[in-house]
Amino acid sequence: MPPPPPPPPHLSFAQSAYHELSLYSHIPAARQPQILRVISGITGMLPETTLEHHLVYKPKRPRRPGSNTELYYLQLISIVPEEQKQEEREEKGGYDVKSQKWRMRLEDFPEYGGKPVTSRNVFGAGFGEGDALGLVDSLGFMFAPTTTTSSLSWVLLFPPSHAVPNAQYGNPYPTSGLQPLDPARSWVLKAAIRVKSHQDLESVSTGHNELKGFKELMRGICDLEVVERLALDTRVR
Amino acid sequence: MPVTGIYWINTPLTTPPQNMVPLLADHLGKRHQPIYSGKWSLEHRLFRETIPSSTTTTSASSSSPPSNSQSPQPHQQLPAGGNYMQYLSLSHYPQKLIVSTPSAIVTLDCEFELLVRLGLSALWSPRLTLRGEGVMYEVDDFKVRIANIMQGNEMWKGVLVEVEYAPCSTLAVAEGVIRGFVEGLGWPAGRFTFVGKGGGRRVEGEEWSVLDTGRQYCEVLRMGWVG
Repeated sequence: MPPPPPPPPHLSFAQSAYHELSLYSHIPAARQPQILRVISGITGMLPETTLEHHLVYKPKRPRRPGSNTELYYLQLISIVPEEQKQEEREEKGGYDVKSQKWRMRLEDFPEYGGKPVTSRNVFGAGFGEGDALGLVDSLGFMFAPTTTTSSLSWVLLFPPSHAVPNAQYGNPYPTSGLQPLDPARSWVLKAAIRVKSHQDLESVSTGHNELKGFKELMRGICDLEVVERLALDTRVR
Repeated sequence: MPVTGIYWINTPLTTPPQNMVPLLADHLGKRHQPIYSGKWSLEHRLFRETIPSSTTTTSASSSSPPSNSQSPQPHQQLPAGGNYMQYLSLSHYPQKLIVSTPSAIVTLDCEFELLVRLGLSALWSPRLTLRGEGVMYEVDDFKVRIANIMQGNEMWKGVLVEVEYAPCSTLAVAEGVIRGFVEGLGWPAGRFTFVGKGGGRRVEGEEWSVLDTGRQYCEVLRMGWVG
């Protein structure tokens, strides 16, 4: 069987294990078109819209008291086309969460200590054949529908689900039915650089400088900042 | 995908383990004209779910002492109801891991190994690593992969033979053909595995997939641990 084509390298989806350096900015809805134009100018690329379906999982059992290993939330992520495929729409129930192409992702708690950028390890692996949701369940994780963490520019919420199989996972179609988490429809700008490992000090330092350079370029348009570490806590308490 | 069957030999031998692969290859050559097609290898890791201290009473019947150690404990028995996870990498299925639990089996990018080691260590602890190295032959419509399975560098666990029968993608037809082929070779007594237990259930009559082959390996190599 031929291997599936690799996802485009610039998507969060693409790489498997890396160390991520990032800065964030909150963008009011009215400013979004201008910001996009500025970034297009800097990068020489047109913006691309990506819709991702994130399933957030939490371990079924609590952390062992006194244990020095942490428990983390786990995500399954799938890229969802903007438009639903014809054959999916025609089938009863439509979107089948089980047949999506999922990718597992686990994000570490950002590193401690006055860094100029947010700095964390990210581990991921793409599923091939078999029941991805079934595997995650048997690894000791349960679907946590009330928890939403996401690196999306917009976090969209599913409309109330209907009585169809697997409805708890949500159906992104029709996409017009998705509601922004923030009623003011503001955006989050995340500027991120990936390096192979946090031990590669030279690449980390280059990454810091590039992010600093980008922050300077954006000065006066938006403020890119380090996010409060606890806001990005992926550990289960 | 062509159907596979696994033949597992771990009975006490008159032949030293290191001579087993050449011996089986020799038998193959006496009855057929096998074409040597290279070396192959596998790696298998077995994990056990860590049991939270609050629920250790449920496994009180097990003789295994509670341990935070990450080192493999080869002779420890799987406690009743204990949950396990296995992952398997095969050189003839590169870049992917076959990951199996009692109720599910999938293929995943091999970076899953890193995710487990660094992100899931509170839930899963490694128990046993087995490695296999051996040789491949093509014989008419069959592909035969023979490998010694070792724990560490010293402990021989058995010889694993994967027989792939190319013309056929349903088990019902292929099982008899593969059995007949192996039985005709005059190899030492062993055990066939066609429908692996664990990793959920195979759908009867469905076309063969790499997951079915993965279930076979995982059952045999899990047995190699318990037995």
